[in-house]
Amino acid sequence: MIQVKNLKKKFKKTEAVKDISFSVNKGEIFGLLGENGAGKTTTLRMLATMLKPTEGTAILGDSDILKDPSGVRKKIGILFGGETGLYDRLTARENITYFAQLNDIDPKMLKTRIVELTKYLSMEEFIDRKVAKLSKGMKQKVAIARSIVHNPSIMLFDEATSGLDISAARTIHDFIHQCKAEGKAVIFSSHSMAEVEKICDRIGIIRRGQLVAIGTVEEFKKRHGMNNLEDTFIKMVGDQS
Amino acid sequence: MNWKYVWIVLKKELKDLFRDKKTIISSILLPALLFPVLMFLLVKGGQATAKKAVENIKIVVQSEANINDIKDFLQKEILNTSKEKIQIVNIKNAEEALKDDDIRAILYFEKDFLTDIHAEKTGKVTIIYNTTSSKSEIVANKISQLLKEYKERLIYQRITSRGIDVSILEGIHITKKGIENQIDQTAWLKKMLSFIIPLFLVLYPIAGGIPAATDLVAGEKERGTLEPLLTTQPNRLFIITGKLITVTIFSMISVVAYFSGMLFLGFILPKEILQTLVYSKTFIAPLSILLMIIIGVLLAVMAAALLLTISTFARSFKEAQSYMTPLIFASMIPTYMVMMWDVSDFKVIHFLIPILNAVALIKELIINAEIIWTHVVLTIGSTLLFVILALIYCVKMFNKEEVLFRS
Ligand SMILES: Nc1ncnc2c1ncn2[C@@H]1O[C@H](COP(=O)(O)OP(=O)(O)OP(=O)(O)O)[C@@H](O)[C@H]1O
Ligand SMILES: [Mg+2]
Repeated sequence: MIQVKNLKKKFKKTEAVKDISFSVNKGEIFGLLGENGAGKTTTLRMLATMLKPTEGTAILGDSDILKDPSGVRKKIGILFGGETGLYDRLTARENITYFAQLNDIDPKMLKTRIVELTKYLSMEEFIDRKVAKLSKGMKQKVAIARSIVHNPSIMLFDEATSGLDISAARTIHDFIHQCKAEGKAVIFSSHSMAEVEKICDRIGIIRRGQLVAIGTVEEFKKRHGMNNLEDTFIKMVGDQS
Repeated sequence: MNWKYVWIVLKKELKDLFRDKKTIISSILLPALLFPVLMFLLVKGGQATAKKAVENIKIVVQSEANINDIKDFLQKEILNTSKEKIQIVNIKNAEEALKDDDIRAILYFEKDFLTDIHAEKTGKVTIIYNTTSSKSEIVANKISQLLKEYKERLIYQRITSRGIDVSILEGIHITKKGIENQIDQTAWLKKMLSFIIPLFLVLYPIAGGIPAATDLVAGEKERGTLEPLLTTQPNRLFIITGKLITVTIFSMISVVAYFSGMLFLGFILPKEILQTLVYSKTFIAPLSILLMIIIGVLLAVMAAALLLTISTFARSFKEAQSYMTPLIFASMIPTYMVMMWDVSDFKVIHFLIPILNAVALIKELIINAEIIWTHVVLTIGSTLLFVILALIYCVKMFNKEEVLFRS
């Protein structure tokens, strides 16, 4: 579903991503684990066609990020951490509608799609309230609805749970599992090993713009003879430096 | 260009901004109200003083002659002819009272005033008033007018009693024709408008576009809405075009709001000026007005492109605003420069410099009766060129990833 081929990204001075290749299958959750400044956001932004790679490319579904960026955007949904990225003065419904329209949802289907999403995420109570007046958890749900309004087959999460309380983070985790169950390919970036260990099928550890290890959680534990990923991660970082 | 996406973006941005009180206040309400409210207060304030001045007028009469005789004369011959009631009061320290605004004026009659008048000589009277009080000044003028009218009646009596025709006094008769008067007023008004119109045609697109422009890119960056927006279907050109049209609309709304305020002001302007405007067909030709509107629209697009470029470049809301505010002041410089020049000082080069050319051309269109087409073509042509450059630059900026994703 996702094939990343020798991606490189150089900003003026910094080489943010050096040479990254990996692939993610349908119904698989791939964890991109790395410390601050490792290059996670840059990688995901290239996959989401926000940034142009300096070298290399990636194929998402059957679209190449260089040759068919608009085809790629049709297939992906993104949920980036930090701010939920909603328009405060618009209602939840208006926010979702805006992104639906920009993603070419048939106007005739739009209403039913929003009803579907409202039910799916239990947003009935606040769907017509202005976002400014919503709680953090409610906003999170609206952001999720917005990211999947066009029913993407690939989901990109960048530090999607950072700064959230346990129950809001739980909403996201449940949603990610739901994506997996629906057969979507998922990339989930985080700097928390515990979190990645809990929800991901396979993991890539990224360090200074390079993938230093890839494997399933089990493989990692076996290979390094450790019981949890945190120790493994620390050991790996230690190995390299 | 895929106008479907542009329209979606435009619709959403307009809805979003019209719900923002800050934008509405600073882009629409303020420009619409500021000028008329100020002028209204000034005019009303003036009227109120004028009304107050003639309410309850108290004056003091002084003379070394028999004061009661003087008062009787004053009441009968002069004050009784006044529409407003003027009351003669007795106050010891009259000058103090005048300074304190308790009385409006002091009339001082010379000792021989009444005898002189009866003897067909010249009676002398002095009006003392407080120069720092506009109320006192108004009343002093009023009394002076009443005295003049009395003087005319007196002269008429004296002359007719001798059996002489009054017209002998009028060596020549001067008639001031209205047309002369009109030209004067139009010239004054034109001069004023040739400053005010360009000033606000340049200033308001910028001032009115700032809230919208800051919100539309720098605001989206800060709130984290830009990233999801950029992963939707439309490519960046359509998104920025929608945003450009939105800011242009807000820039134009500000200008329109401002001129609506001016029109409203028209209703409280002195009537003679309005009449001059309505009756003089040559005041500002409709074609000139059309040209000004075209220039206004071009300036609004240029302002929108400039502001959005800055908004894209800025990291945050605050940063954007601190870059934009100086632009407001910078935009006034060409207007003040042109104000100092006469229309005859304009040279071809002036019509090639952006903004300066617009200001100069508008001044020329207002002051001159005839349109100089080379100036029009040069101004619109070069402005159009700068508008296109500004638009291209803005779109380029919005496509620069190192700017868009700066942190
Ligand atoms: N727009 C940019 N211009 C210049 N340098 C950048 C830009 N974006 C990222 N970088 C640099 O590239 C490197 C990787 O950054 P990136 O944001 O991808 O890391 P990250 O793994 O997402 O880190 P974090 O956990 O802090 O989010 C960093 O050194 C960062 O300073
Ligand atoms: Mg990051």
